[in-house]
Amino acid sequence: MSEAQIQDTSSQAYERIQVKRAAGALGAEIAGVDLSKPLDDATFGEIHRAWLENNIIFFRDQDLTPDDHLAFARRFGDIHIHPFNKPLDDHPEVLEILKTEDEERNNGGRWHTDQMYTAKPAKGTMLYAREMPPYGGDTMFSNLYLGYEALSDGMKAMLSGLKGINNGDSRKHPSGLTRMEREKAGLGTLKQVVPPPDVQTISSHPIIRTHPETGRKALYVGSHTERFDGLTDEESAPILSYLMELTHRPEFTFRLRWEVGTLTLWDNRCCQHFAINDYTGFRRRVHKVTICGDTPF
Amino acid sequence: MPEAYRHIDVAPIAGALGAEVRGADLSRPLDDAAFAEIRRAFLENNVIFFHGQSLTSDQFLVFAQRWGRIHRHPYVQPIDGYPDILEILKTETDTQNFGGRWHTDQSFAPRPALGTLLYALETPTHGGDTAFANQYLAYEALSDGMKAMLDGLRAVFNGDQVHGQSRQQSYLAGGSMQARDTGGEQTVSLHPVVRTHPETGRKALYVGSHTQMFEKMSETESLPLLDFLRAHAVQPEFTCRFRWAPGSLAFWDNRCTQHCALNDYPGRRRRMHRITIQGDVPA
Repeated sequence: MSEAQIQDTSSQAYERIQVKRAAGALGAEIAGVDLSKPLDDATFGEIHRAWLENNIIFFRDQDLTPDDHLAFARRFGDIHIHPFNKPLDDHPEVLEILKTEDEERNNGGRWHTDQMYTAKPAKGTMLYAREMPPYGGDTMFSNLYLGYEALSDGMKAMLSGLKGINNGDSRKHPSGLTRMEREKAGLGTLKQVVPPPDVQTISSHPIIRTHPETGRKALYVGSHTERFDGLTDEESAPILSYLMELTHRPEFTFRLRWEVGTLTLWDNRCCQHFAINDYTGFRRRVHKVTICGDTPF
Repeated sequence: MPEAYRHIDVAPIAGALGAEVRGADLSRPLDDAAFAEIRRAFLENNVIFFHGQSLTSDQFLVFAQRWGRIHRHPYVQPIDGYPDILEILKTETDTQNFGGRWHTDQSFAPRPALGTLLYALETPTHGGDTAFANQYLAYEALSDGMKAMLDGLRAVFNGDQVHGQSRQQSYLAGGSMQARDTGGEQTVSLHPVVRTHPETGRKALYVGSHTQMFEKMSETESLPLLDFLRAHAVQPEFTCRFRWAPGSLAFWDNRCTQHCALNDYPGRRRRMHRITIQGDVPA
């Protein structure tokens, strides 16, 4: 396997936090922070920098209420509301993702980036582990900068200017059913709501997007990407499936093993993720908060 | 549920396969009862991991020989004085790594290696993990129609094709591994695409990067289905991922797993010693 274009991103030292890289491609553990307490701006600034440099960061042994979780998320921006999934009754900005001992299907078990089918996809997702199986239930992440950088110059040129159609409720889901149809058939994983009429759930976004904060280019595809804008399904399928395969080459990935109290924050503008469904008979419960993003360009 | 362990602790690291075995010092002779439990953990978990071992090459070899006769790699030069031990080295300046695609070891040989022991001597601070995939699960997840179609099908496994290059060419291109003359040893073999594990009796999908084409078919005809099977076989639900430290030892079962060595640590050094155990003719 030829070498991935992996950059050592530890540009400046950290003074307030410890940043321990966990894999070659992306992912770092942040230590020395208690997220249940207010963070001063200097500490927050370093966490923000670590997030941009490592694409996904995680904190162990945090003890957070939903309000603490939301307060930390708000340091990064306004909260993004999921158009389809029903939130907690007492915290409309928090989703609970639960798989019980008796359920077979999980949520997020495909390579995707969150809410890329909306007009302004969530820039970040903050997931907090409340209950975990003894083993299994890991999440994998892939670095979409590296996916882009691995393309040939010819392919980069061909894709530049191309847009993808991203559908939040496609029948191309492996079940062939919409979200509501899955829920009615007992195949759902989370309680669904009907999106408000003003929320767009099919969106066209550039296949190559520039990260608004780092300025780096990333390959912006995921399981919600149905086809290229202006091309047919058949014409799009070969290149799209090639790009999807490329983005999750093992050397572009990181795999996180959760513990109760682990909080992760990933950057949907330059990461895909995949929730592994390998813990049948065990219970797993996490809380999810997403942060509003920009229009991709 | 499987039986309990009395001599060792066995802690799975993922749902699909892989477990850490604790409470065994592999530098000392193991009594038969402890070894039998390690064997059971190996067969139940497909790949097992030991941490914090401190082994000389002789001690490593003694542990390996408990599992069977040693299989010698037809292409790779062993280390001085130990014809059964290979050194897997990637230096700070190498760009290629060894085993960087999903595969099972020596599937191109008439009797592919039963299992592979890998012992970490030097590892990068981060990066250089190995991913494993459970091929029993890959087989069981196929539809009945696909299982029937694959039943009885054999494929050509070719050891001399490494992404379109010969071994010699690929070893020379940016890596530290030294190739040796195979001395006429068989490096292209026909094996069933679905094999039955000789010890567990379970069926496993048997494809990997060495699988070139199906028997009596052209490469063009074979590729669509082979590509499907290769992608199907390594989906995240079937995998685990191991992070190494110096003194870690892994032992995997090539009859029911694939693995992939991640090349994500440019500029850093990784050095391992490897021994493979001789296997049967796949059936």
